[in-house]
Amino acid sequence: MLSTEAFKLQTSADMKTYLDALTTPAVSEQLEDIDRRLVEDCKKEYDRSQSVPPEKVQAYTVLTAKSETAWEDAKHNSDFAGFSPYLTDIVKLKQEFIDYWGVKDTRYDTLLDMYEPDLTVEKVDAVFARLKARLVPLQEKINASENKPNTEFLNQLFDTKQQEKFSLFILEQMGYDFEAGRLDESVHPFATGLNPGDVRITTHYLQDDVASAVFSSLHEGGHALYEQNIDDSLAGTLLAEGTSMGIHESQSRLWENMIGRSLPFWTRYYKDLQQHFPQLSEVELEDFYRAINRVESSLIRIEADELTYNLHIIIRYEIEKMLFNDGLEVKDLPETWNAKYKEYLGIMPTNDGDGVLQDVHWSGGDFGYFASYSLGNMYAAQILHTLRKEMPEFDTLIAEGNLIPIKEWLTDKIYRYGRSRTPSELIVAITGEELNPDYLADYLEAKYAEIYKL
Amino acid sequence: MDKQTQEHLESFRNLARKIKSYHEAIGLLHWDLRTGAPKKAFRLVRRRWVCCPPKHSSCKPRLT
Repeated sequence: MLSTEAFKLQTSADMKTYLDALTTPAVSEQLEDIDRRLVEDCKKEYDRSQSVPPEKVQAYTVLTAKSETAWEDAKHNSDFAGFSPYLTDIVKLKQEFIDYWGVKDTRYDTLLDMYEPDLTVEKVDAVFARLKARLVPLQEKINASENKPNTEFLNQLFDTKQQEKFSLFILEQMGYDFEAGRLDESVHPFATGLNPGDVRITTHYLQDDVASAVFSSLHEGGHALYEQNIDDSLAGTLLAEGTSMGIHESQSRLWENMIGRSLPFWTRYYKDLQQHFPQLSEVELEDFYRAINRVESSLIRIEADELTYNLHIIIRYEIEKMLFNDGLEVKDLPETWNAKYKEYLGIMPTNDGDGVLQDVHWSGGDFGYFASYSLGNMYAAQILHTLRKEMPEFDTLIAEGNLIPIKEWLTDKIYRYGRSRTPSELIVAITGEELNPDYLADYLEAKYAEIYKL
Repeated sequence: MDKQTQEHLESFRNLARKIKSYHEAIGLLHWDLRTGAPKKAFRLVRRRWVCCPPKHSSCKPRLT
């Protein structure tokens, strides 16, 4: 009911009247920047919502609700045939929606734009091609390396109460404001930013996997820092949230991977971890650091390491593009999926539950979403490059446990703007250039050359 | 800016604030369903869920 009411307001006659009045060139140029951005945002949303007949929206809503339940069962039973009719209908409706919304350069462009404004197939193809050209050989070198980290000591039981204590400690160190948020437990970790004064996060505590809770907390904490530190002037407006999925992911991944999986970070915090988990007391810092950065081809995206994760995303992006631009049929998805896993990661799932059915996204109609995860990695590496230049003491600060100056730098450059700047405006303002995948490739090559002694 | 445009702008801001308030309430319900509510509740409510545009993180949490 609430969301129906919100939708009605977004598409109301009043909204049309105001947008008509405020989007004329003569008026638009008189608006303050924040008002202009808010008007542009609402206009885009209004046009998109108005273009689809209400009965189609209703059909889509009912379909995706049923589909998510069908997907859960299908994944559990590795039964693609049971899910296929729902997915076929979703793709068909999405194709109709693309016609209503308006086809950009390609049909898939229209979907990409929903998650990352102005992102196009042309742009993503270019950055993914450059990334793939460097990551696939890097992964092959790592696979051939004889210096693989030992991870056996991570396969122990770790008290979940201690995991919670350590997660709370790390969040506090990051500067997460517990007066403006809380940490809870859920099956799948997530962050919900209601407003800058209430940004809640969840994590999960797995007895046999201490790393999962630690890095989930850092990841969701990164999302939360973004939304907690949006400028007060935007509070209560629709601009008081992250500017795009890709920029949001850049902040979670910067904290989780580029800070949280770094040697300086554990130089400071490993002793605390050992105090919480005495079973690690005999494990050397360097061995721990290498273990949490192990690279290995795996079937499941959300369990993938920092390097191969991008290949999981490129596979999904290429498949979605084939679905919407090149006529790939839903019935052929498992075969296409398995072939791409073989090609990029050298492994193939033995069942569809570990393959094409593993992600919830398609069951909810979220096509175009996946690319934003790797965009997040690329944005993060590019931002990190500038951060290191402007803050030469970056590693020292982390090694001292002084993370607040880093949070403040990110607040000044990113967080405070909320949605008032586009992703492109932000990344150019911070780094002086548009998205450049070479920073991520440079970062990963340097990191793994040291860990794997390449 | 003339008086009528100023009035439109103020009304527009108020309408946008109202929409934002709805998003916050939806986000709060979603958080409760994912954390505190009995597991069966989420499955039942989801059937009646009307999806918000994906960009609004306050009413539709990001997927991992």
